[in-house]
Amino acid sequence: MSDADTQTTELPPLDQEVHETADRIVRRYPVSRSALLPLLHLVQSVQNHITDEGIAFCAEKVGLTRAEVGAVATFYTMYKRQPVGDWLLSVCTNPTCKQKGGQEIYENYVEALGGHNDPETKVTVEHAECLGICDGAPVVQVNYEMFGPMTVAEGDQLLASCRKGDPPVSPWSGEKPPTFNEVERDLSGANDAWEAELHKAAIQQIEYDRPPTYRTGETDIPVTHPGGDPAGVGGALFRQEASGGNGQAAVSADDLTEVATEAREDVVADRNPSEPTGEALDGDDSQRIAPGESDDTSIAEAGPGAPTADEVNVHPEGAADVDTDVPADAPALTTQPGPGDQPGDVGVLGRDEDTDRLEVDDSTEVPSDDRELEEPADDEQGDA
Amino acid sequence: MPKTGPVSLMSSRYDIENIHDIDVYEQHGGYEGLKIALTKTSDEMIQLMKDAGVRGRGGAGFPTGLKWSFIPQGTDQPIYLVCNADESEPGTFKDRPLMERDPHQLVEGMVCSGLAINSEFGYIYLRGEFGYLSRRLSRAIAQAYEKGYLGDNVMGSGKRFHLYLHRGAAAYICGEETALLESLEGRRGQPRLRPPFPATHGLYGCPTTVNNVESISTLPWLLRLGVEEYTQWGTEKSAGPKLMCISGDVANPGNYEFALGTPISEMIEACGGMKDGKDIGFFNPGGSSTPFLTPEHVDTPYSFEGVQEAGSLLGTGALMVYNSDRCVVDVAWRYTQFYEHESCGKCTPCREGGYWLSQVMERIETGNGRPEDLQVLQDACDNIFGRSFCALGDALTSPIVSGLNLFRDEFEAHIRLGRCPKGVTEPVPRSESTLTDPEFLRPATPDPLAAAGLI
Repeated sequence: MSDADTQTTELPPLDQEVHETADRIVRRYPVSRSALLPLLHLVQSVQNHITDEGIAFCAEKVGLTRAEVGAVATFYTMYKRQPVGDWLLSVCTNPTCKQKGGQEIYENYVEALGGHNDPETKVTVEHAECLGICDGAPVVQVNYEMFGPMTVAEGDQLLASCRKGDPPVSPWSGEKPPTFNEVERDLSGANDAWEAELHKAAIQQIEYDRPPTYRTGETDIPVTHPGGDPAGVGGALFRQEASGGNGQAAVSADDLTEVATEAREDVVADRNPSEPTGEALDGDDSQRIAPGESDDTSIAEAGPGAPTADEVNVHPEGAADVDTDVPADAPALTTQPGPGDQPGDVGVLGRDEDTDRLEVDDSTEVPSDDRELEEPADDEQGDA
Repeated sequence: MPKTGPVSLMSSRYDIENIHDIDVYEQHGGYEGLKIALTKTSDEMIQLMKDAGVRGRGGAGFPTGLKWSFIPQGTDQPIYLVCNADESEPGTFKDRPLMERDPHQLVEGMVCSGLAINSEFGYIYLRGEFGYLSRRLSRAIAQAYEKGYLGDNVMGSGKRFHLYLHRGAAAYICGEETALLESLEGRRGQPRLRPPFPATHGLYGCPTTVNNVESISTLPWLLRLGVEEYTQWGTEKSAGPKLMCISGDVANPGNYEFALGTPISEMIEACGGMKDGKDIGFFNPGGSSTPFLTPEHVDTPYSFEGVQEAGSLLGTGALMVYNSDRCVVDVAWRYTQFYEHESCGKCTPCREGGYWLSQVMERIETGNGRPEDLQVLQDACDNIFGRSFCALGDALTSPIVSGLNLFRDEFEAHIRLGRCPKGVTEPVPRSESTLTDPEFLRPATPDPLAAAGLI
């Protein structure tokens, strides 16, 4: 299928419901990036493959760049970059299945469809590596529902019934296979009934004295932000408590030069070219993505005057010594969290009283050292 | 003297109707192990695992109790228990039936193991292609939460344990523990450099232990049976029962449970022998990553040390038997393609080696092999083994090297005859093959000193 085809096909939009589901999934994890694989499944549950829109969607939800999301999406076999029909047939062609007829079944399928994809009957065929059902060799999965053992003729029947949109009941699960959208929705975890417990669990993990670290960008340097990563639930809580802090990359107070400020404004302007630079921050809910994403960019673009990630001041023990060197009249990049600033209603998560570690009382949003705590790589390695 | 032969322990509830439902599970002794676990301390349970000599069931066979004792306590960080349910080694299907038929066994195992290492948060990393299992486990976990076996107050004990179900997206490499952690953190599944080990810097930089489904499910049984009863099965160095997945050309392929140390021939016999009474050609004792063995090894006791002595590895317990009509070159070629596809691309030997080896194997199997190809294979494998970042590279060489060692004449016959002697693969005419360029994959030029006649 060519690019032109993909563009002309009308895809269902990633609507409000998908956004809300994604926010709920992100809030389960102490570090938001963990939600990336589930979110990619979620995108496929709506659009049948990973679209550029889907990549941008995930990037926004977990505070990454689109390049970083793309790098993950293209790594895993189950994330398809070409549209998949309602019925995805995966034929195992590893030795045990191959010898018992899997290869022949696969070749028949490709011949019958005249390729791997039949848009008309919404059937897609792929060969798969070992599916872990060797006791049922040869095996075909319809939307990851197991069928086998089967003869070549039975394999052809299975394809025929899928092309009619009515696959049979799986002998393994006793259920009819779900559609591709349904199974992907399930794999995203959106249907998990104990979600509220996981939302609690995420907060509990963040409340440890040494909470889970995250790594920014593609580096191997672990970073601790009080309460977890800026884009995740911990960061949201932190921003709330710090009244406008945003988990910006660490820059010491002395480095609050024009260079750094300008760099940050550039980042903001890049992301919102239509908005006037100076006012871009105020209460705009699209800003929720900027803080998380600009972690590396603002440093990288700040020029020689600004510290690099390695030089950034490090306070492994958290925010104990933070608030003192922030100038009271810090530059006017301040903002209060706007109504759309928080993903979901973090207010109910019950951390309001627990402010002992988070003594940042001024509402500046200037990139400052007060809330960025980075553990040095050496420390991490040295312990081991 | 410990017993060998068939056992019904981990798989004992497989055939009970609706055992995946929590009420039925409770009626059959479910969550009894957890009740005992709540009366024990962490140290007692780790010692129990050590005393029983339980070795990891995921492939490497590392003692589980010892692994748990590496977790540093009191670091003010959360401790994570991660269950590796990304079962994708070719030939392996032991965790799938366990989660499919008796999912609460794993949930109970997770809570008990969590208590043993003082972990409050467990993650099950489930292979993405198990759509049906994802629904089963999801329902089981939700039920366990409802009944109070999971949550902030496990069975009223005041201890908490939360369980995540995280689905992967099909990558064999995510079965490697550090790659799994990378994937769980939302990254490409590429292994991490060790040290630091996951025990100190694992998930989110916190102390973490990664265990196989079967290893984790062992603890509730051990708590109920005690060391003595558990170690009645197995050998001195390999204790307990093992879930076996026997597939290939046996009459009744499927999931079986045997005490470790049972001779392989007895296992094949229990599967109804070879299909159609054919002879055994060769077999993998523990999945595609373990070297081939020949019919003369069928009496090897199936224990970690026994299989190793025979020149292979126990791996995951995936016994794949091929009859004498199967072509070892064809099988090794298909496995090489598997590893080529599944290489994560992080390190060069594995990424490039898989790509080139698979082409040489294709050339041999399709009848265009050259005499020097066997040397090319051997050289390339020597340069991959032990030089790749993780065990996938080593595994990549194992079908080829063991094939060359045991069945060199078959490789040679392919090259000499210009076709597969067993007729498994249609030969590709020389003029049509893309792999016959005279300069394509020549072996390294001979040693220049040798060429000059100096040595």
